[in-house]
Amino acid sequence: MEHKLTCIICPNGCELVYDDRKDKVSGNLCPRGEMFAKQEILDPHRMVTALVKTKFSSTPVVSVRLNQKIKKKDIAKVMKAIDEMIINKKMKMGEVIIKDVADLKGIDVILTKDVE
Amino acid sequence: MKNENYDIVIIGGGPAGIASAYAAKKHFNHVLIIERKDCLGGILEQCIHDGFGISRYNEELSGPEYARKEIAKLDNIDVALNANVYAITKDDELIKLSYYAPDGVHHIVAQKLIIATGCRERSAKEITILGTNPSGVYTAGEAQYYINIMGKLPGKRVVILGSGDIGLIMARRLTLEGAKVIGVYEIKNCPSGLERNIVQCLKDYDIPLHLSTTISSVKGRKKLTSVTTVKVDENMKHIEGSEEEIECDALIISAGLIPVNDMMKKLGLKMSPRTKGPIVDEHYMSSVPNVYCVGNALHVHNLVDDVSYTGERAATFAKDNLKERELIDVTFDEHISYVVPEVFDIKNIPPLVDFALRVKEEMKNITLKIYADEEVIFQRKYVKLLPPEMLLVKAKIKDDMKMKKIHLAIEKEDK
Repeated sequence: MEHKLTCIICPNGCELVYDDRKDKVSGNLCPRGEMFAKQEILDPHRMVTALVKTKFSSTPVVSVRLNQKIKKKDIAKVMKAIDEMIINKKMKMGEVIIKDVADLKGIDVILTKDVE
Repeated sequence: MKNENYDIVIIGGGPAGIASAYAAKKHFNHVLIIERKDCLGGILEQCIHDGFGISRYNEELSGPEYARKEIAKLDNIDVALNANVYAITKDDELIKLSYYAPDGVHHIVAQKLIIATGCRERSAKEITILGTNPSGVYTAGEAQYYINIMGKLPGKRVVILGSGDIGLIMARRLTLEGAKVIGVYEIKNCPSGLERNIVQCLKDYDIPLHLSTTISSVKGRKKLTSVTTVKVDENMKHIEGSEEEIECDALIISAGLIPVNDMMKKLGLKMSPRTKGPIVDEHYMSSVPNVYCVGNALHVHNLVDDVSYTGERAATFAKDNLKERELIDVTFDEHISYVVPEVFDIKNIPPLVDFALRVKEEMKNITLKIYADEEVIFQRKYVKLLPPEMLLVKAKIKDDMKMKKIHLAIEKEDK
C-alpha cells in the first residue's frame, strides 16, 4: 500500500509517498527523505531534548539531548530517567551525564549547556 | 564627555548580531556589539529543542549549542553587556549613540550601524480576548523561559492559542514535562507553523489542532480557571452557538512575531507595512545611508541559519562605500505576500542578490522567476510552497548589468 507522510528531517517538509510493495519513495527533494520515509513506516525514531535539574540556584535546570535518535516508543522511559537525574557538580557542554540511558545500549544523554 | 569611536556598531547580540560582528571584523578594526542582556546568544539560550544549524553546520543542534558555535567565531570584538541604548541619532556622516551599562554611560560615534534587535511576540493584549485578567496567561516565549531556564511548569492543563512554531514546540515540551496539552487553537484555516512541527510536536503526541477556532474569553478571578473557544467563519467572525468552555490553568499564546523597531523609529527609518521592519535595499541598507538591518529585526525568519546569513551579508556589504544610491521599488505578483529587499539600488548592484519572500496561500507545482527588466535572472521550481515557509533565494547578477525594473513572479506549470 501507499503511505503518505511529511518529512521532518529539514524545514522543507517534503510530502512523501512510500509504496511498500515496490519499496519506493517519491516526493523527496534529497536522499535523506527516502531514508526517513522507510524508517518512519518500519520503526519511527526521534531526537529527545529535555531538562535536567541541578542543585545550583543560578541554573536550576540545564538542557540536554541524546547523542542520537531513539525509537519513538522509548521516549517515555528515557524522559523518566532524565527526570530522576540531579546534577550536583559543575560540568561543561558536551559532557555525558547518563550513559546507556534507560538501559539503551549506546544512547547517551549529553549536556547542551554548561552547568555553572 | 569623551566619545568612543568605532568603525561599526551592532545593536543586539543574538544570532544576527553575532554573525554581523564576526563578518564585520574581517573588514573593520573597531567593532562593538551592544547587548541588553547579560550574555550573547539572544533567544537561542531558551530554545533547547534541536534543528538549528542544518544548513550552516550540516548538524541538528540545540539552540545553546548553535549559539556557542557562533560565539566562538568572535575574536577581538568589543562587547557591552547589560547595555541599553537610550539615545541615537545620525547626521550626514556619523551615527551617534549613548548607552548605559553597569560601568556607567557611554557615548559612541560610529561610521556604520547594524540593527539586529530581533523580534518580539504579539502579546495577549494585542489580540482581543474578553473576560477577567487572571494569572496563567503567557506568551509562548514566556512559557519557554519559565520551563527551560527556570525549570518550572506554567500549568498542568494547558490550552495553546495560535499555531506558530514556538507554540507547537511548547506543546511538545509541556507534554514531555508532564503537563496535559488539551489542544492548539488556530483562528486561520491553515496552521501558522511549519509542517514538520505539526508532525513531530502535535501528531507524535496526539495533541489536537483545531483550525478556524479561537478563544473568545477567559475566566478566573486570580488564577485562570477556564477558556471559551469559538469557531469562526471564513470572515473570521465568531459562529454563535459554537462556544465551548474548557477547564485549564494555563493559556499560552503563540500569535506571531513582530520586529523590534524602537531603534529604527528613533533613527527615522522608512518602515514597511508588510514586514513591520524597515525598508532595505539589496545591501540590507535602510532608507538612512550606512544604517543596516538584519535578522528578525528586518523581517521574521523561520531559521536561525538564515538569520546568521543576513548578518554576515550586511556586514560584508557595509565595507563598501557606495556611490550615490538610486532606489527603485521591487515589484511582485499577487501570489506573494512580501519580498525583502523592498527596494533595489540600481547604481550599486552587487554580484549576488538575496531575496526573501513568502507566498500568500498554498501553491503547488510552480516556478518562481525573478526578472530584471525582461530578462529572467533566477528561476526555480517548487513542488509545494506554504505561507509559513520563508524562501531565501540568491540571484547571480552579470557584470555591468543595467536594469530599471525588478519583478518577482510565481508561474504555474502547464500540465
